[in-house]
Amino acid sequence: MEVIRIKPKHFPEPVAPFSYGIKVRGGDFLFIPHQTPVDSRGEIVGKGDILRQATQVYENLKAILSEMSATFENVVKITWYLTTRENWKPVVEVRNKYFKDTWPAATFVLLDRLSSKDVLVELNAMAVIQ
Amino acid sequence: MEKPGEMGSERVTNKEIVLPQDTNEASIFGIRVSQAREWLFIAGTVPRGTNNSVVGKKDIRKQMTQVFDNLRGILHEGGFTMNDLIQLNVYLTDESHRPAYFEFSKKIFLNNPVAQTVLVVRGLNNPDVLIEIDGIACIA
Repeated sequence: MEVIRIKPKHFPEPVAPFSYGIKVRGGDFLFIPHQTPVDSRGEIVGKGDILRQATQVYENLKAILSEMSATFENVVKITWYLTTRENWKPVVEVRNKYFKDTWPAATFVLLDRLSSKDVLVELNAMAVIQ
Repeated sequence: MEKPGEMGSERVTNKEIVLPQDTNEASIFGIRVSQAREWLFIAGTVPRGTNNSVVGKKDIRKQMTQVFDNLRGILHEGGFTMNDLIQLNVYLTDESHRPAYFEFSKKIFLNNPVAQTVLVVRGLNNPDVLIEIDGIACIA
């Protein structure tokens, strides 16, 4: 399996760390559906607290990856959904703790509402594993 | 209406258009990919220029042109072309831009169908951004 992060030479550095594109040779794909800020009992954590909710979402993603013996280095694409633009910076802050230098291709979308009125952030992902 | 699979020699080797037998609706098709050697996962691509500023504020046509130029740039850097695209998610911030997008993209994908989902959302990463596109490409 080979993962190559793409940045066209004439493109600027992204406004937040991410890869413009990720090229993959070999490996199996892991498609991860929307992760919400719920704990192992299925209860929403951190109502009104974007940092806590984003951390829970990433912890859930980490648990799924771990189950497949994968890490955040294996993630090639994430799409995150927020209900307010103000939460973008704190979510990037949390994301940066998990991804380090292996930035995925990312999409950010602002929606009126997520799976519950108490959910401030959701995330789905694709990973490539051996 | 022309059906997307009727493109003969334009078809790339590992990308097969799957058409149900009993419909002439152009949007009813699937794409089968087999034996792909390389995949490209493309980030949400926005109409930013080389200095990172948003191109064509309030101008959906300029923004669409810039987004597709940027998509071509990413594909090219990875060794792919527009013909290698198999799936796109298109995010618009204004419902009224939907016809303009379909008119614009129809010309691009007439002989090269792509599985597209077009969504209207409340906002994207910058208030001036009217369109963002991410997607997947592959080559045999």
